[in-house]
Amino acid sequence: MMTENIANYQAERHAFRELLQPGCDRRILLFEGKSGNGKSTLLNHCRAHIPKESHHVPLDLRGTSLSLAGLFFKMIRQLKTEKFQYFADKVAELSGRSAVELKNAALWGNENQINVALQGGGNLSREERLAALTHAWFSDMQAMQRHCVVIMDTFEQANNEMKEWVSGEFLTEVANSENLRVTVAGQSVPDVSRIEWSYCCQKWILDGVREAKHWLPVVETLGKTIPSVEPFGFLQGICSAFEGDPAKIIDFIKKLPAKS
Amino acid sequence: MTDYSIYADLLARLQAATSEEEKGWMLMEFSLNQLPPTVREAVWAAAIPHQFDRELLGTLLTGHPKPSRDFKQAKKKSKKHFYGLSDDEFNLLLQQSYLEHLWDGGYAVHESTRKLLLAKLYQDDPQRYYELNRRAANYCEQQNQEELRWRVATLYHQVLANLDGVTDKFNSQTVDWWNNFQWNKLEALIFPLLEEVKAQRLKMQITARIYFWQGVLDTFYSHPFLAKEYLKQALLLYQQVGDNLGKINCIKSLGDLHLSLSEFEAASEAYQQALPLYQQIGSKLGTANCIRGLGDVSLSLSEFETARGSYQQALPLYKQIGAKLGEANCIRRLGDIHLSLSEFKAAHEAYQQALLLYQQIGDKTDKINDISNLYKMTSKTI
Repeated sequence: MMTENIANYQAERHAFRELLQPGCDRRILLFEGKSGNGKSTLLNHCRAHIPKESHHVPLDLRGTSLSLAGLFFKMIRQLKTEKFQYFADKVAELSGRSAVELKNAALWGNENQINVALQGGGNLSREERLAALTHAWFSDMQAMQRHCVVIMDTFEQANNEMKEWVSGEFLTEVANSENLRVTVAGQSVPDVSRIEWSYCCQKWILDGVREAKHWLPVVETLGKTIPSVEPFGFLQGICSAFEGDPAKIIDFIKKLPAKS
Repeated sequence: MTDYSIYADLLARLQAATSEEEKGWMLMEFSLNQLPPTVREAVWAAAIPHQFDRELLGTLLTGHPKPSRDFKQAKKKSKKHFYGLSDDEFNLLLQQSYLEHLWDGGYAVHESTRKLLLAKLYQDDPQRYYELNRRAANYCEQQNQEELRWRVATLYHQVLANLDGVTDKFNSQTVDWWNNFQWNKLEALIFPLLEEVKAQRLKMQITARIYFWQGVLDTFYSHPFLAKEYLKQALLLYQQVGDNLGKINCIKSLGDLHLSLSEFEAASEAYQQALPLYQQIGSKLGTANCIRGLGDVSLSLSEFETARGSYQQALPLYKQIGAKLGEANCIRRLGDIHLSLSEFKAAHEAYQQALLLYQQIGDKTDKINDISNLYKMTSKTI
C-alpha cells in the first residue's frame, strides 16, 4: 500500500504504533475530527504500518446501506485464511439448518445466509440473534494465533443499528479480546463514557495541522517549491488562511510549481 | 503575471476571504483552472455520485449507460470514446488530492469538496445538475436492484434529477420498507437525501416526505428531540404545499412521539386532532391507528375500561382492511388489560392469538419475544 504524505499528527501516529504492541492494554483507539481534518490520510498511514504477520481488516462504514450481515461477511472474507467454526455453527443453528448442510464458507459465510440467521423465525429476537452471532465471532477471533487489527472509517455515516452494535457489543467484546486491536475514525465516534470498554480506550481529537514547520517535509517529499522569497512565511500564511485544514493545505501544496 | 505572482495573489485573496466556503471555492477554482477542460468536466461529474468507478463516470460524461459492455469494440476504438476520458486523463483526475481511493475499490470526491462542487453546480447550472443526476439514475437503475446500495442510489439520483413520477416511486418504496420492518433500508435512503435537503436543492413536496420519515425513524430509534423537530418541519411543509394526508400522518406521528415520551395529554390531543381528519378522507387505517393510539394513552394512565373500549373499536376496522399488525397490536393490548385486571385466562388467550398473528406477519421487532414471554408467564398462572 502507498504511504500517504502526512503532516504532523505525531502523537496520534505514536498512539497507533503503541496499539500494535503485544502487551498493549488499551486496545481501542478513536480518532475524531471534522471533514477534511486528515482522518483518512492518518488511517492510510496507520494501515501501511501494520506488521505483515498481523491480520488486517479495513472497514469503510460510509453509505448507510452497509448492514450488520454485510459487515460480518466483509470481516470473514478478509480473514479467509482463518476458520470460523463457532460462527459457522451458530449461523447454521440460527438459520435452522444443519452444520453439514452449510459445510463450507461459501454457504454459511455469505451475506444472505448471515442475514437469514439474523432475521430467522422462532422465538429469539433479532437482538438475541445478533448477540449470539457476535459472541461466536469473537470466540473464533480469540482462538486465532495471530493478532488482528480492525480499522473502521466514517463511523458517522453508519446506520443506527450499526452504530449501536459497534458502540455496544462489538467494543465490549474487543475489550476482552487480547489479540484484537480496533481503531474507529469519523466525524463522530463511539461514546467513550461506555463503562464496558472505556477503560481500554484512547480518544484523539484531530484538529488540523496549523504550523508551517509540519508541512515543509511534505513540500519536500512532493518535490514542490514555495513560490516566494520568504517560503516559510508564505507557507504559514497558507496554513493560517485554511486554519490548519489538511485537505485544503495539501491540495494547495500539490498545486505549487515543481522544483526545478 | 508570472507564475509566482499567481500564488501570491491567491494567498492575498485567501487571507481577505471571510468565509470557509469562499476560501474553499477560491482553492477549488484555482485547482480546476490548472486542469485540461476534459478533466475539469470530469471533476464536476465525479461529484454527482457518492462514489464512482470508470464505467459510471463514463456514463455521466457521455450519457451512454454501460459503455463498457462490448469490450471487443472498446479495444478497437479508443477508451476515450467509451468513457469520455483517456487513460491519461483519468489518471490525472485520480491524482487530485480531493479524490479518495476507497478501501473496497472505486473512488469518491472528498465530502467537503463534493459539497462545494454540488452547491456551485446547482447554483450556476441547475440544468446540468439535473441532467447529470438523470444519467446517474439511469446507470444505477440498470444495476442489480436487489442490492440495497443500487436501489438506494437509483432512488437518490431520481429524486435529485426531479424526474416525473419520482414522488410516487419514493412513496411506494419508503412505505413498503416501513411496512416490512426494513428500517435500515429506509434509513439508507433518507440519510443521504437529508443532506440534499439541508443544501436546499429539493422541492418542498419531497422535502416534507424526507423530514417525515426522518422523524419517524428518530422516534423508532429513540431520538425524541430530533424526531419532534423533523415532524414539526414536515407538518409545516405539508401544510404549505396543501398535502392533506401528509399533514394528518404528521399529526398522528407526533401523537406516537408524545406517547413514547409519556406526554399523554399532548398525545391524546394529537390523536383526537388526526382522527376526524382521517375519517373525512375515508382512511380506515388512519382512523383505526388513532383510536388505538387513544387506547394506548388510556392504558398508560391505567384507565382500563376506556382503553378496552378503544381497542375493541379499532379491532374490527383493522380486520376489515386486513391490517394484521394493527390487529395483533390491539389484541396484545387487550391481553395487557386482562393481565392488569388479573384475568389470566383471558390474557393467556389474547397473547396466544397475538403471537400467532405476529408470527404470520414476520414481525422483526422484539414483540414476538415479549408476547412469547407473556404467553409463557400467563400459562403458568392459569
